[in-house]
Formats: sequence, C-alpha cells, structure tokens
Amino acid sequence: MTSVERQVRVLMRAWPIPDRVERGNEIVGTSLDLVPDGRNWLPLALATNLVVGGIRARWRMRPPPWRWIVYRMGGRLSTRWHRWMLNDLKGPGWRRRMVVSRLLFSLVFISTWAVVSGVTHRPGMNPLSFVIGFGLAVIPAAVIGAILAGKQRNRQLDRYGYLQSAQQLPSEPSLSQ
Amino acid sequence: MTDRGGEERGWDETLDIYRVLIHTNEMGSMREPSFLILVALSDQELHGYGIIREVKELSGGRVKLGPGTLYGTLDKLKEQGLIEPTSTEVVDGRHRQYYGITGAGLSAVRSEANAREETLRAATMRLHPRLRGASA
Repeated sequence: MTSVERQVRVLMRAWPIPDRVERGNEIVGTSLDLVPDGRNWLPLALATNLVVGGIRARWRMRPPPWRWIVYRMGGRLSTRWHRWMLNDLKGPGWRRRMVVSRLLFSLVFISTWAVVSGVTHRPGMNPLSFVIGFGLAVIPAAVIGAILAGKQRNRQLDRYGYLQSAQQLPSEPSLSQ
Repeated sequence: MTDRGGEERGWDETLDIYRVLIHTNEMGSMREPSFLILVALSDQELHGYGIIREVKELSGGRVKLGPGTLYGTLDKLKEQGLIEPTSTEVVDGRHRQYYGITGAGLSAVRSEANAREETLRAATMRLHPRLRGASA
C-alpha cells in the first residue's frame, strides 16, 4: 500500500461504517485516480473534500431529531433508519452514547421539573444544595445506565432481529488490506 | 400496529419530499453537480473517476467534483431513482463501480435541460436589447 493510499484510508474514517464496508474500496479507488502521479501526499483540497463528504454522509444517514429522541428513549425506529441504528449499536462508543443521552434526558427532565415546580425560587433554598441534590439524582442514573447499557443494546438489536441474525454489520476492511 | 406503520410511512414520505426540496433549488431545478452528472450518464455508463472527468469537460473545467461531493450526489440521485449501479470491475487493484441513468433520470435531465434553455434564452434577450427588438 502506498503512502497516499494509507492517507486516503485514514481519512475514510470520517465516513460511516456501513459506507466504508459497502463501498470504501470504490471511494478509495476514485480518490487515488484523482491524485497526480508521483505525489506522496494527498492534495489538501481532495483531503478536505473526502472528510467533508464523510461528515455529510454521517449527517444524511441520521434519523430526524424527533425520531432520534424516541429511539434514545427506547422507542422503535422504522426500517429506513436501521443502517444508522446498526452503526450506532455496533460501532465503537455505543455505551458512552447511551449514557450521555440518558444523562442529557435526565438533565432536561429535572431542569424542567425544577422550573415548573418553582423549587429553585422557594425562600431559604440554597442553590448549592440544589446542585448537590441534582448531582445525587443524576449520577446514580448514569451509573445504572452504564450497567444496563449492554442489556438495552441487545434488547434493541433483538427487537429488530439483528441479535441472532446473520444480517449484521460486516467488519470494516482494515488499513492493512 | 397498521396505523402506526402508516403514520411512520407518512412521516417518512414527508421527509423524502423535504429532502428532495433541500436537494433542489426553488422551482424544482436541480443543483449543478446533479444536472452535470445526469448529463454525463445520459449516453453512457461511467465509474466514479469517469464521471468526474466528464463533468469537468462538460462544464469547461468550471466544476471539479471531489470524491466527497461525487458520492454524496450519487447517493441522492440513487435514492431518487434517477441513476442505478450497473457493473463493477477491478483495474490495477482499484475497485470501480459503474453507474447508469434510469428512465426517470433521463426524463428529469431532459426537462431540466429545457428549463435551463428557456432561462438562458430569457436572460440573453434581457441582456441584449437588440435581440429583443429583432424578435418582437
């Protein structure tokens, strides 16, 4: 593998896993065709275009925000978003994503409750004690979320038949190929 | 369950329309890369690099597609059913996927070409008053 090809394959990491698996070699081939002969470095414009294209591909495959929220709360996703879902559940960092989204929802929920109930404006209410109470409520939720993340992931996969099925995300071609 | 599926499809159809609108300019005209790619594919099947070369030639060197732009646009055109992947080959260890235009793609590019021609004619008339006088 030439150094230019290695650079292209590194930049291909900007693309979603399904794209890299299904047509990574095609995109690499076209990119290499565009590099003038004898160059050891990718032209900057080409490298930028490759990365921006990957970020756009990631953005395109995402479900709309309301569907994302429903999915993160444990709801169903229609089949057109299953590529994104498999990328999310089988890609690296899935546990972190689950915990962070749960934390985010707890934050929104508790903040809304605090504002609506007026608890923050009660006479004698110490803001520090509110923050501590808030932390005590949210941190256990995060810990429990982290512990149950694997179960939740498997439940989501099982729900759509991806847990035992052979229809799984194939492994990504490695840089050494 | 059926109602829920119907509702989901309804949302997804709305989203499809929204995506098509995002992909096109107002009045339903295509963006230039899409138009040029469809023109390039109108009479032959081409692979990624071939499309980039044809588009550059068609636009007189003005439009230079990068791989990110190319594959993003190809995805959208495929989703809209205007192009389709045909054959594949490996040349010098490089994978090449060929794309061809569909019947819907050919209709879309012809109607777009006509619309552009009319706009160009109107613009030419406006910019050259003598032509306007001659045609009146």
